[in-house]
Amino acid sequence: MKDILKKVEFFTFYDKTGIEKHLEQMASVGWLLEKMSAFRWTYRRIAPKKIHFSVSYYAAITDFEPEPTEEQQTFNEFCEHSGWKLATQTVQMQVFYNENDDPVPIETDPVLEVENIHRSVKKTVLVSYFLMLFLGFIMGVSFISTMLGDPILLLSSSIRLFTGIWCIAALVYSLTELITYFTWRRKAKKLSEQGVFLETRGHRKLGFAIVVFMLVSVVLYLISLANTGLQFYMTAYLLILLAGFPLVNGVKSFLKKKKVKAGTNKALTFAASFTLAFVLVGALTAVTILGIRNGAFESDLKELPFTIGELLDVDDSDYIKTRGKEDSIILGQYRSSQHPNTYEHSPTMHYTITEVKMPFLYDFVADTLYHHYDEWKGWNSAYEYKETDEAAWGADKAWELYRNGETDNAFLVCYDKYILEISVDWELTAEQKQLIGNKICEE
Amino acid sequence: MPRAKFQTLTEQMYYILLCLSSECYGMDIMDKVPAMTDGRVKVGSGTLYNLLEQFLDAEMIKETRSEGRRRCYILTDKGRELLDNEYKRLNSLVSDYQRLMGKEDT
Repeated sequence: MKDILKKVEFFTFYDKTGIEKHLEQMASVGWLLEKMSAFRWTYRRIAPKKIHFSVSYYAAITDFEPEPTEEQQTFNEFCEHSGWKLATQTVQMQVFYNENDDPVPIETDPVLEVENIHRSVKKTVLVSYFLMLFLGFIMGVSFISTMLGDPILLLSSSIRLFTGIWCIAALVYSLTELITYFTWRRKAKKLSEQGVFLETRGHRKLGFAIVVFMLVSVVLYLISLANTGLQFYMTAYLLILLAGFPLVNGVKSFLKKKKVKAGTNKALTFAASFTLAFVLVGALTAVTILGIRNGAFESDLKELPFTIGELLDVDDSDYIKTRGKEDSIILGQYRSSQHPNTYEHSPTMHYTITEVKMPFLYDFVADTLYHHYDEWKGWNSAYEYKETDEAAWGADKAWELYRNGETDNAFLVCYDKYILEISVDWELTAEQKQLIGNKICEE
Repeated sequence: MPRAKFQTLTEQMYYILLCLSSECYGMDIMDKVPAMTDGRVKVGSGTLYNLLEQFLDAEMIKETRSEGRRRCYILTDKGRELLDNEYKRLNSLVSDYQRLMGKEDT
């Protein structure tokens, strides 16, 4: 039978009431809190019993002290005198427990208690919440404006999609926490004047949901990079970035163990984090250079799906070919163009193949592409798609683009899960359309 | 309207200062206050610790001696004056009550 239980907990820092109730419930089923870090709490097995818990906030504590300060020890002795034993502590938060039936609470003045909580919240989580809110807002606005302006660009780019989603998650979380905290504080201050402590309210489920959501999105992002060669490099990127946190923490813990003074520890830890930042950026650069040398950042679309040489009787070996690929778990976009390497008039061709990986989005994507030229209305050129013979393309639906009433040799063609936008500077024959259709269907 | 600091005293502040009218260990106040009020007023350890810090900062009490981390405190003149003012304020409340309620009774 296990005597130690380690659990990932998602309590809000100031959720005193929630934490106390949770710990009382854990003790009633035989687990006493022994240690806590940002997320993982360690419990020790005990005989199930009713134990009272009290979370205290003490803003004067810093995380760099090698051992409890005189003030902390005095505070702990005061608590011990009234039966409250220290279970564990983290930065500015101390958890006490009391096995007596009806103990005198540690805090008996709600005004002081609300002030204490605010001092600690200001020194710890408030700055992170505001920073998260600021970044989330800036990135979130950019994400939403891209979503409204060019949804296909967004949905077909894993990195744009996931960073946008992470930023919106951060925005939602920080905003919820800040609104909840300041609402609580306003009401709690008023009530404390009447001698009442207003219970705190945290967002444990929201915190859990956001963390799971972010982890799942990282995994999905890495999966979406499968077969691109980027998977290994992006995993390395993430691991290098994540390595920063335990390394800086390790430096701080090592110095604490060596009983280095808080001020010195703080200075050395900051110096270490700056140095590490440079080292990690160096490592990221090395990974990038390695990736470029190995061709990992190049598109895996080595060959164009179809070329001018296959459609026309021309030698396109010296043509300038460009190709690009954006891919996510929702959409894929393959862009290609071919134009001659000379000034003489020769045929050119541009096309984009959009792969819709989620069938329910097909109509939305087709509709968005159909209205692609709407924004050009009002300029001298009036663009309009007109239905054309889809059978010639071997497709489900096809439209031809007209500019000022004349054909522009550009088409929008819908296949089972692919949508082709193609523009050429010659009149496509039925055979050429059929050949293109066959190539797309082979994809 | 939030209460101006120490302009009026809470029950807990009042009894802590009262305990310190003679030299006393900070920690012992936790036992003295319930004893002198028949258990009606209790001071939590965190509240006591914080109030002692605030009284020291406001120079209402001073440290007289210490044994390890156990420290003894006593009221300063300023603290005594504040306590006297509070006593007078409470007395005026009582006399107002007696005057008005006494009138009503007759």
